[in-house]
Amino acid sequence: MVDPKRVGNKITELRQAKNLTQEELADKVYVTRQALSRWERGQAVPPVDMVVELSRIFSVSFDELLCLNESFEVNKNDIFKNHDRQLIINWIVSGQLEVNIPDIFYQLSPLERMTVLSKLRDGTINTNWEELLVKLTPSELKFLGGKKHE
Amino acid sequence: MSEKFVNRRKNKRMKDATSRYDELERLINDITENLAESKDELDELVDLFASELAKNPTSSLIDLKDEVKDCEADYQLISEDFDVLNNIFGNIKKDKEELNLERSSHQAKLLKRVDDFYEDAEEFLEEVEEFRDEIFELVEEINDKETKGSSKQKQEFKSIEDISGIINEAFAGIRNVFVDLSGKGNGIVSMLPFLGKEEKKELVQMIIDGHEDAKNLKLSSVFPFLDESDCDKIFLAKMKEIPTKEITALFPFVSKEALSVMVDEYLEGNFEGLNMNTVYPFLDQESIKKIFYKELKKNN
Repeated sequence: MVDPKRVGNKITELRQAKNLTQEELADKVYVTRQALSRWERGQAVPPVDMVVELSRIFSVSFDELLCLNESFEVNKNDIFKNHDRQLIINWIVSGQLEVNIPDIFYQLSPLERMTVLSKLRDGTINTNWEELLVKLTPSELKFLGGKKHE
Repeated sequence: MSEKFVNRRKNKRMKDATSRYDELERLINDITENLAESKDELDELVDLFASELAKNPTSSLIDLKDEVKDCEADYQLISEDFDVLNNIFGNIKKDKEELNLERSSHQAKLLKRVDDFYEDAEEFLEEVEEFRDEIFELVEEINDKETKGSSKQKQEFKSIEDISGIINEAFAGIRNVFVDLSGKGNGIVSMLPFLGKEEKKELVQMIIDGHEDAKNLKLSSVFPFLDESDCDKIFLAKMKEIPTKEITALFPFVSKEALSVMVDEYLEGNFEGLNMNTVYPFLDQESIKKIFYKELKKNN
């Protein structure tokens, strides 16, 4: 999965290394300066063809530009800060983002809580059940019903 | 080269230089307005903090004192930086008046000065916006602390009606979980945690067949309650009907194989409705690579 914020920082870093202004780079890839600025600030990710074009201009691979092989960190007190909500949830349930689920559970919407619980229930991810169970609503407990947790 | 052509190019360059300058002027105005608004918001924050502290000096409220002070200090720094920024803009403005924009060297000079400065100004605007967010969050925090503090004081039960009211309120929260989950309040979704294996299988079939009762179901609400194999079945049968906006929420529930089928369908041109530019960030590395190798091949 791709973190738009990190990709934005990478583009800024590579652009500055090439001594290009936002305007100059935007001209090279035929987009507006505003669009480029949005990518750099992590508010959007460049479309597929633009990633290829940017990789060519900066002479880097697309994996490097998209920071595919890098690990990432989130702010424990606000896991969604600077990140797309859906992306964070996908990271948690795929095990790509290691967080102590009971600590961050209160930050999730009801639907996001169920998403995480379903992955805990089928064993895709693990948690400290003792800490988590006391934070669940009766219906969430019912949803987990039948599963034995130590 | 004809004179007409040369003049036309000259005019275009002049227009570029002046329009870029106008853009910068608009940006500076934007910053000025934002800064003025942030000052008003800061004053309101300070007043609010003082009045809340006088009313209810709880320890959690007192803890915010330093943060309010930091905000005041930040404003001081930002307004000093703005003076510097404004000064530079003043110099550019002066230069513009002195330059003869009919001459191409002067046009280039103005363009360069504006370009060099534009990015700094843009970053500064972002800083001011972040500062305003900080103030807003602090106001929310103060209001929140005030509400919590006062609700604690008012927790006195005078009669059995009071207690039943509070119990009802508490259970409304639990009921809301399912109202939220169901989107349009669909009855099926609220029953999902209580469905047995057979009933779930029936539901999966209803969704795949496009049954009337299952038509309005939001798949992202249903998938957490189903097994991966059932999610795969529905996903593969319905993926072309799911709006791009919603499809990314289903990715955690379907298998890698199912996602791979979706990507292959897209790459073969059989999935026109999918906007891959917004979907690819949510895919796993293998699928992302597949998409980009195809794009690279196309380019070569």
